[in-house]
Amino acid sequence: MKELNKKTLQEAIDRMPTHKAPEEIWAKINEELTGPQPRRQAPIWYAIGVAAMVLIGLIFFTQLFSPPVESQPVRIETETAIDSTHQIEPLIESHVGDSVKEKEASKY
Amino acid sequence: MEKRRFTLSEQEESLLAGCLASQPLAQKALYNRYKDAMYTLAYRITGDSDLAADVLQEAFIGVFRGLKNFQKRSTLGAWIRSIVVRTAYKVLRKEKPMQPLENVATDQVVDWGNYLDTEYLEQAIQDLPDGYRMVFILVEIEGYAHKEVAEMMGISQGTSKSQLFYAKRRLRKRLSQMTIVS
Repeated sequence: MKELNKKTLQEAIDRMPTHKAPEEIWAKINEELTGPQPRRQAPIWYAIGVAAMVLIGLIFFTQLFSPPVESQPVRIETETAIDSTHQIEPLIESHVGDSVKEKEASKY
Repeated sequence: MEKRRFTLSEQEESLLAGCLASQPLAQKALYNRYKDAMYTLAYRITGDSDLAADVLQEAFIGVFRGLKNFQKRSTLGAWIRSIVVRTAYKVLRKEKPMQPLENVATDQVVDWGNYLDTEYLEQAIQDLPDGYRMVFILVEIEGYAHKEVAEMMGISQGTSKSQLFYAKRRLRKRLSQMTIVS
């Protein structure tokens, strides 16, 4: 009777199903063994894109805070005036000179 | 006297060598070979799927880290099994402290009848108190001797035997209730 009981229990135990281990456990074990996985290196075009964005931003801000274009010709006008003065003087001198010569010639 | 050393199969030797060299493919293959059996064992001991997952994770980390100490005194499967049992017991004691149990006479026989429904049996095992369940699983399902169970659980052999008796008696009662209810 005792043997029969043991056999009954053993047969039932042998028929008991196996449970499946959850899939995510291996990832946790692997991470614990190897440490956190390094992040994938960013593709080169990603770096280029970031660099281009930074460059565009720099250009934009440079343009935004640079002095207005209209203020620069003031210096140019002054220089032009000086130049024109230098050019006019000889003309006046020559004119004056001519008129003096005419007056002196009319005396004789 | 030197203890007997087991000869591993060629496949197990290859897996062992790969794991000792920290080869990820060998580690994964070893895990895949034993994961379901060890998860089932952990689930039966803890009676909780989340705890069983924790046990499986902790036990396999222990397996891979302790593989260099494996001396082939048992099969690789038996060695991994013993780590799972110890880890499950540790986790179980941490989560749910076990009540000390008194020794009783264990020469009585529990009558199982001529047929046991597996589904009911599994449910009835899960309904057992932790200490009873663990001893029942280790002795009746895993085939450990009371001496080994006593060592693993830090109890006397007499306590292991009496817990097994209590477990069987409770199981029988529970199975009768289930059969009546169904």
